[in-house]
Amino acid sequence: MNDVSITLPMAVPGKEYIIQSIKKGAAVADTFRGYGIFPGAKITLLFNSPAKNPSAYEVMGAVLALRKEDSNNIYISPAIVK
Amino acid sequence: MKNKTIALVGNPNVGKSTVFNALTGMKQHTGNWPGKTVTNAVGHMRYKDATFDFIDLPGAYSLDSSSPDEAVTGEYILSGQADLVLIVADATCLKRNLLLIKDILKVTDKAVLCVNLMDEARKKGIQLDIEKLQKLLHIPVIATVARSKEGFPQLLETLYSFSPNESSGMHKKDFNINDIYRQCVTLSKEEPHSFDRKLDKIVTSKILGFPVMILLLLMIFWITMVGANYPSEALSSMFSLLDEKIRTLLISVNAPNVLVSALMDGLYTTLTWVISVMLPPMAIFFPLFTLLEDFGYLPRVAFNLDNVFKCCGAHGKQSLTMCMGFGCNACGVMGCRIIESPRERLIAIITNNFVPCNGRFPTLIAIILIFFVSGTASLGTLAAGCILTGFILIGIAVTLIVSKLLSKTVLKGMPSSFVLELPPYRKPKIGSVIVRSIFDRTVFVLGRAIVIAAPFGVLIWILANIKIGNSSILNHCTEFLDPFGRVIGVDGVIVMAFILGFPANEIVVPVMLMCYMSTGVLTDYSSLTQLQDTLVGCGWTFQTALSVIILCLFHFPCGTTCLTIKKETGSLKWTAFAFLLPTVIGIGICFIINLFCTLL
Repeated sequence: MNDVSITLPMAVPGKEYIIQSIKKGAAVADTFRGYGIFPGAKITLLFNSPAKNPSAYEVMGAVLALRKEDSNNIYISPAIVK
Repeated sequence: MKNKTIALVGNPNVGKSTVFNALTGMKQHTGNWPGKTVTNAVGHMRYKDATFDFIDLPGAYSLDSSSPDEAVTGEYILSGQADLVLIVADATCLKRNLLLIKDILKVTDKAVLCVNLMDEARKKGIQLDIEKLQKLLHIPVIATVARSKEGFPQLLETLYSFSPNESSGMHKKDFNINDIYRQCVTLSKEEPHSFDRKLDKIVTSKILGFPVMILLLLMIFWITMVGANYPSEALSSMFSLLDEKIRTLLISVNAPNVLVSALMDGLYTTLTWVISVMLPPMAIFFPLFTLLEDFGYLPRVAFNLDNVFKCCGAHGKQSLTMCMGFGCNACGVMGCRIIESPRERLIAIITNNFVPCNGRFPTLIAIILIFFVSGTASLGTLAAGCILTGFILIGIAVTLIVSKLLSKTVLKGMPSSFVLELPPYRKPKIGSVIVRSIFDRTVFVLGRAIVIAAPFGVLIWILANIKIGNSSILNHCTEFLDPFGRVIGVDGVIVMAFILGFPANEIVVPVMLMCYMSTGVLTDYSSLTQLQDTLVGCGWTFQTALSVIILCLFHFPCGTTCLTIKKETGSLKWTAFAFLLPTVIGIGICFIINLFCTLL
């Protein structure tokens, strides 16, 4: 179901998700775009740091670390497995 | 005769600087973590009848970014100053790179794409259809391996023959990234980055993450100590042998006694100390550190430590600049440009000096070996390694505490958001890294020895030998400083040595020795045991040694670092603050230690 969206930190590791939206006013939305983090893009949670925050995500073949404070602004839904 | 200005653009950490170095024969520092290039380097090369001026722009993820670093790149491209934009892309991560390529092709069609790191892609089973990519993007595309210059003849020929007219066919430069990726890239393994993922799970795991970090640090120190021992001793004995020879020679040509003493006791002693005691550890530590850097471990350290830094109101990338500080604090301060938020950048700049740079390690090592460990050689150095690691951890702890205090007081604010890229691991070119960095270090240290240590040696000798009243200027100074020194558990000579060590940390110990020598105690110091005898003879105790180590860790940044701080902050006030803060902390800790020792 695509319309059920959760925030990024709730993702199950190793499972692919599609970014639905990024909360308005998140000052970082601009910066995110260049990293490939924008609505419609795919994202997968890979692993957490020892303190569980930040976490590493795979986006467009690269590994990016995001703090929970930022990833909480990103809404995702599970990608449909073909 | 053609002249072309070519701008190198690309995502951070795709090997732009390696391409730049390979093209221009220059030696921009490269390392496997995003943001290594913080200044625009310019280099030239001649090809056939043309001259290419290359500009290595800082890495960017997009052209309209908010970070000041990336803004430079964006503005440069938009200004149209470059005759040609050479886009460098990472073959192992083409999809994300296409975002920037798309951005660039929207504003200019004077572009050539260089798909670099083809060797890594091959290793990971990633195949790229270069022909097709070229057709779809409507710009020339060349596959390269910058480290071995594979593909460079084609690249140069393309740069040479490229004229903007040929691609001005009004192609629609808006393309679908997913389409292009699907058409040009085929994977022969299901997960091309499986090795990276496995290793990442280990080095960032809850249980092993921190132990691995500390063990690596310990291992580097231990190798440095064990390895430096032999060249150090060989150099020392060579220099003391030479010492006699030169003295005999100078006396035989009837050189005045004053000159002999100034040259040999002043210049020669300082110079040979820096070369024999300081150089070997530096020449070993630096390449080891560079290997870790090239491998891609540093971003993982930043990843592991980010939470701690966040709690202190600091930026996660501060651990990267802190790591750079181990090499050189001035470089670390400059590296703080990778931190976007001005507040957090300032915190990182001010606290950078709390980790000891290369110029301070050998001093720490020597004192630890003399006063903290005794016993068999290999066990002794292992213990010394542990102790040094302990002191480094204290330095890191103070970095964090001070960051926290700053973000609670003068630099109030919330931690800003950021994205930290964990780049793929790359196999460092071990041989060339070792040879290059040992060589570079040696040249660097020798250069500083000649420019700073040698003149200072003479200056201090003069201070020690010009008498006012019945004692030397140096004695007047040290006696004046002595009461203050006593309060913090050291003596006037040590305080004086740190002050005179302002131009370069390397000369702190030789200055001390010279001061002690002028009181007639020291004659020779070809080994650590003799050094120990001298220092103990001058009243050094365990507490003195501990205090000197603390002062070595926490005192004002060296001259070069201060200048860099001034340049980076543009503020005399913050430079003064960065100067005073560690000094006050160092003196404070030593005062407390002394208080405890006198009470006990």
